[in-house]
Amino acid sequence: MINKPGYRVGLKSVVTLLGLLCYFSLAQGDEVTEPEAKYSSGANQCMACHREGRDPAAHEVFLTPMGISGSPKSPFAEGSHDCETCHGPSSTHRKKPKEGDRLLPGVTFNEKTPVNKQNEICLGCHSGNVATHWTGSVHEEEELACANCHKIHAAQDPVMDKMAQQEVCFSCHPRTRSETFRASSHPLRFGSMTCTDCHNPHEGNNDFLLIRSTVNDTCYTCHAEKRGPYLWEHAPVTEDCGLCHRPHGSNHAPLLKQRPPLLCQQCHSPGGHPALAYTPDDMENSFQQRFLLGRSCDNCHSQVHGSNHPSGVTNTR
Amino acid sequence: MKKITRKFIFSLAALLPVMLLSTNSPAAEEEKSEPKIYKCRQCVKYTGWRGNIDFGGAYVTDESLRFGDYRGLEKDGFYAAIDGDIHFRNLQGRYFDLKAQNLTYDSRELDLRLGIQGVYEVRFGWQGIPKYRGYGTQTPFIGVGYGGRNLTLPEDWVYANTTIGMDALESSLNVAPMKTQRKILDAGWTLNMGSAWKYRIDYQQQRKKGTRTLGAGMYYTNATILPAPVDFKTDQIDMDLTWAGKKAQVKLGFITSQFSNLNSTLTWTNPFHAQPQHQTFRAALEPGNKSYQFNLAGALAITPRIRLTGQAAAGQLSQNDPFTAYTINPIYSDRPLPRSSLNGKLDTSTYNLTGKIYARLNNRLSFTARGKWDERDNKTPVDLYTPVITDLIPDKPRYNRPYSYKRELVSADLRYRAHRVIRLSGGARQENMDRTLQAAERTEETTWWGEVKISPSYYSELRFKYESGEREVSDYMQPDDGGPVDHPLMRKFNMADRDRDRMLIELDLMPWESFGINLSYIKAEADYDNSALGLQSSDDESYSINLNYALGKKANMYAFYTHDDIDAKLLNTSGGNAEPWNADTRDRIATFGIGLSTDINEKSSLGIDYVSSNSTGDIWVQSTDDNEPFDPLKTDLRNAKVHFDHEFSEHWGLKLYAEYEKYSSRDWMIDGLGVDGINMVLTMGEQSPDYNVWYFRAQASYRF
Repeated sequence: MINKPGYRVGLKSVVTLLGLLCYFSLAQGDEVTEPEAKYSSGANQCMACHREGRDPAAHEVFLTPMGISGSPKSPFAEGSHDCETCHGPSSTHRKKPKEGDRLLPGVTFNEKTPVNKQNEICLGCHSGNVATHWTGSVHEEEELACANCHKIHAAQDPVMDKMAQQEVCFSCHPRTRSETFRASSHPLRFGSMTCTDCHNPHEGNNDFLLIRSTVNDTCYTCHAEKRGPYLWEHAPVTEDCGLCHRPHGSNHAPLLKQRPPLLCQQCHSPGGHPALAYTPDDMENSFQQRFLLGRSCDNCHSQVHGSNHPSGVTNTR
Repeated sequence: MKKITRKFIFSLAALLPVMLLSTNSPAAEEEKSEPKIYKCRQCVKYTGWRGNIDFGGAYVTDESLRFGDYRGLEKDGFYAAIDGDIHFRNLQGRYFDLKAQNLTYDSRELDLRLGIQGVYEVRFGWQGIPKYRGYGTQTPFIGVGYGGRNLTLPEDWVYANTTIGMDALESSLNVAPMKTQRKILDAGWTLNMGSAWKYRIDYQQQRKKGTRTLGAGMYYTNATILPAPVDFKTDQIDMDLTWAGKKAQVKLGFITSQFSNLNSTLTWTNPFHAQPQHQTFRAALEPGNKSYQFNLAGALAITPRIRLTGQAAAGQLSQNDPFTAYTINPIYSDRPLPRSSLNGKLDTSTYNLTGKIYARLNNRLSFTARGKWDERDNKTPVDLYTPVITDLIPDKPRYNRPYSYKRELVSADLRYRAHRVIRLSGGARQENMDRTLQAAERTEETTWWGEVKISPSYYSELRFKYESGEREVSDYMQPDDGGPVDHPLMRKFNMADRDRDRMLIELDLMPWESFGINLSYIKAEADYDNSALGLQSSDDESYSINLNYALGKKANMYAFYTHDDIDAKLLNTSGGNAEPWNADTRDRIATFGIGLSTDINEKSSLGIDYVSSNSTGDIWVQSTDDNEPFDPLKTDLRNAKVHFDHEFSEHWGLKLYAEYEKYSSRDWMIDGLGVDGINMVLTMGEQSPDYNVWYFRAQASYRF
């Protein structure tokens, strides 16, 4: 059995140290910054400049759910501050100075406002469906701003469209884009699927930001026939689909990391035909070619995900 | 479940008009209360109906099954082409959004959402996904189809020991497209109750119908590739109740899914032998199953800088389809089964606890700790079965092996902003896995990682990340399950000692506002040095370059290139004291893309995209010094798209689209074999796809 106390002691020490550090640092309290600007008198003033044809134009926000003032949760609802609900008090932005550039609004959704401040604004309203697991998630820890992916003023937020969403994700995950063009891939490039069919970008708990708590549970959403439980299970199948498959794309159908027989021979060596070395010489060998060509091991052992046949112990029925 | 499903759909359908009628007409509402936005003279008031309907025709120049995958355009010739979107808004928040794509193709998609913003939403969706499961397939079998669970051969079939002697094969062959069509129906409803409560329920039904290839052996000598039926149905209901406060959120959810296969077995006439006991064989197809899971998730902000999140889920999978007999072979068909069905049952549970603490050192330090526990507790009864292998060979009794496992995952990460431009991060992760009935009872993996991120400005960032992990395995002892035993030196790679290293270097630069460049390099190595046999190493190297260039406000150009190199080394032996043989595999994939999108003027826009993806797969198996490598596996995809939109008037426009795709592939495992190229195996003659297809589409666009 493993006896590696070093790692555990190290881990405990780090945790303890950090705990103390946090305790003492929390005691310092939050910084408070008094805003200098005040709220303006509503969207009418903002839209005078940010109307259609101007740069930046914000008129399309009224085509989005946020722009529906009849909705009590809208930034434009009765009692809200319209544009300044998100952009903060911005009276100083409205007044053009005699010299120099115009002052920015209280909050801008770009490099001028710290990411955490931007996100606080969004999470203030979207706390239910987004914020629950956002904190501590990979994207939060990478200091992504909501506006890095979402276009708030656009009539159609690109990430809500199957094809446009992929472009948003690929801008930081370029390798995944190339994987979708491989010989065997999930149909992302056709728009039949998109990233959020499997991943939840706001998720913090599940592996790989998946929509379900495990890899297999996520795959079973569309491939429920492989869920079992089978009479004769294939052990790695029950553990992790990713042991044999590359979910974003592979050179070997169906999304296999390698093709049989070598894929199978990584684990199986019982002697006899499963453990033989098959070389190009065997392609013409009328006895050996059945183990190598066509579907190779799958010519006979096709029930690799498990079999419910009482005689399916070798996955042939 | 059928009853539940129907009831649910009827309830939803019944609820819809009630909900729509439960609020007054827009005009009445407008009279009752004047939304605040009316007071904003400068605000654009998008109310009423608007939309876009595109209709016209499409033409595909060549027939190609692979080009038809997911597109539904496998046949050459003309197609009608209809797309569109229709929207309604009023100032009280009532909305209606309908989006339709490819309505006349097998890949049609429909998405409908309506409701009152912030009050409720009703959703309906429909999607078709066509896919071929093999190209160029033929078969002599009769009765092929999604209900084809009894496959027979023509009366004049000539039985033989190998395909060489099957004299009637050529005259019996029929083209048998192995195509599945997935149809997905979605319906859902969300209700916001006050400012904090929300209830959501979604129902989904997936039907998958068609045919696929399925291999089945006979003795250890022959095999037949069969056109197996596919008629799957999965019903899923997913619902949750959320309470979201400012400092805390709780979500209670329930998900249930039922899979049913309308073909539980496949019976076929054996094409190889004519003796009575060899005449008909039978395989079991995927059994129906059920699953459900309750989950509870929550988050609590203890202080603005300390937040705890957690999630717990528990559920069950079950499967109890009746068993088929041990064999259809009359000699052994009366063997008694230990039970009539599996009564398969396994409990699943997942517990997550994530804590994140921000420690204030001028906003510089954050710390995250996580724990996750997964369990698959397989309670399927264990019985002694006496299989008849391939319907012919009585095997010794074997117990079934319901696998269970537990996974524990604990991690701690620290992020420290040492300077305005430098962030240092590091962490540790411990993952332990306990398995039952397998060679290794326990594996423990410890991973350490560190990262430096340098961001001199918002427009430039350099990141270097390194990760190193070591997995150790408890005593590796192959279980004796009564079946064939692997070589004692074999180590299955998911339970073998492993050293893994991963490095990432990324550079993001935006030298000027209109130009961005991203470079990334990833290298991952996994070594299984303690495995005398089995996977020895697995390396993965990838680099990418991405460019974006904005040509003024109206045009954007992009280009990307990615190169992947995936290697693996394997050692195995034919048994006993035989000398090990080794295999090296290497996949290299290069993907290049370039594109432009531009508004030519206020009425016209143009988009051009080109992608090429080229792959080579090398396999070299060496049992002696003079073994040659296999011919490289090749794929070459080239895809170009051009679209041009023009508005003639306020209401009318034109949309033109052209796509060219060239695909070629070489695969020595199937190319040129036909149905009888493997003497002992009757295949379906699958071939590597190779095609050149042009797809043109012209649509008039009516906008309102």
